[in-house]
Amino acid sequence: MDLSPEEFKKLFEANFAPLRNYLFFRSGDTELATDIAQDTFLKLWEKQPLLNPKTVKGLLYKMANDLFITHYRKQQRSFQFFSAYRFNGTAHSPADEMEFNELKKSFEKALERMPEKQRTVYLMSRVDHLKYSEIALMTGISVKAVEKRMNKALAFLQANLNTNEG
Amino acid sequence: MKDKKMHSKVADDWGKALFDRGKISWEKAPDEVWSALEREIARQPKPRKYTFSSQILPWAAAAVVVVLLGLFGLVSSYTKSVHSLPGEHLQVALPDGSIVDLNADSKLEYYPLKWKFVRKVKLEGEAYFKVKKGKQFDVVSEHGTTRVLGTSFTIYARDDQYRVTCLTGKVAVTAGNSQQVQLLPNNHVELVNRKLVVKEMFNTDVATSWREGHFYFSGRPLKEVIDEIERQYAVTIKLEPALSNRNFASNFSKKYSVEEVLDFVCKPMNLKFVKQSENVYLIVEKS
Repeated sequence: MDLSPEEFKKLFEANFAPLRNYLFFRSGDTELATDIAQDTFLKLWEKQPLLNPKTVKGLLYKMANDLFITHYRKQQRSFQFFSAYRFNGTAHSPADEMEFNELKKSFEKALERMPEKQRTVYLMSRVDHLKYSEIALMTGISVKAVEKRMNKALAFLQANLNTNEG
Repeated sequence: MKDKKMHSKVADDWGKALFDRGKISWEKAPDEVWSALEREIARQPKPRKYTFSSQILPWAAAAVVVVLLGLFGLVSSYTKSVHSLPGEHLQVALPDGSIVDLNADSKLEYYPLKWKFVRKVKLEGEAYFKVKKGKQFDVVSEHGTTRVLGTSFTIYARDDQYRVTCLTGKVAVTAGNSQQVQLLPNNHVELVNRKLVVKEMFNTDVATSWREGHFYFSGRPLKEVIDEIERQYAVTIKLEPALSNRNFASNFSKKYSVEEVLDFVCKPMNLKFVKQSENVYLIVEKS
């Protein structure tokens, strides 16, 4: 199956955003996520592998994961998730706002310390609302493994979210 | 909220509450990324296709080379081995019709797959050769090499001994310190103190009688005679070292039993033999 430009665009529109999000969840770095996502699509176009519509998504994520490993491992930066993650909404009251900020701070700290594998799965589920089966496909692990990581992530939060600061 | 420990459900709820109100802020919107990609695509309109010739053919070619190398290695090195046990004589027919008669306890190795190009055998022990005329024929042993074009001859290659007797044709023998001799019919050469010594007008029966079950020894150390009896009858005969070099000149025939032969060998030398157990004998001085 040869990839026509139209087909390629359709592929892009369907998969770019979730793929880029996934890379952001893994790295906490929006610039890196954008670069790798872009490179992945470019590579897909260049390679033009014999594409089977059923497996193209899996292939896309596999290529992205490979690129991620080569590029990300080089830079071991801290997880700056919340510098790019913005919140909507207005607080109902200054007290609410303060409470909210405290919560946010705890969360940031906890997320930063959480092991990468658990964190990625957790964010994919709680931010993008992906199903476990979708997460499994994208990360290349089994559904059972996704469940395990999710449970560990929640347990980690439980242990590390502490409002008794100060 | 002042609890130190939280239930994981509570922690989860907090997470959900948090992420319900947020989104990621990107420096580049998807449209921007797409424009960049479109430009790239325009630059390479005909992407390299992964077809049979670019993907599979190189591997297929490499695989063929590996297989050919393997076959070549196999043809060059594959040997066939024939081993005669003590007490047995064997005849080997080589691929070109040349014949080798092996005396007891002897081993012949040859390369059947490349016989058409190279006629080479390895010999340990004693054998009679009748070689079909053709390419040069080499017999390699530990202490010497014999080369012929097509002829008949015998070789004795045991321990440190190397003896060649030419029956018909011409034989070239290399041994010792790269010494070479050419033998004509009835010539015989052997290593004596690592030197090749040629005997013309040799009684070739001595070299070939074993094929009929007769064993001739003219002036050989007793140890050699005893070893041959061991080989022919598949028994063990112990000989006191002092007696090893006694000179023996006679013959024996396989049609006799081993004890008859031992008697025949021992008597003239004032020796006697003792049976220690089944197939084990000891030779001592007659006191």
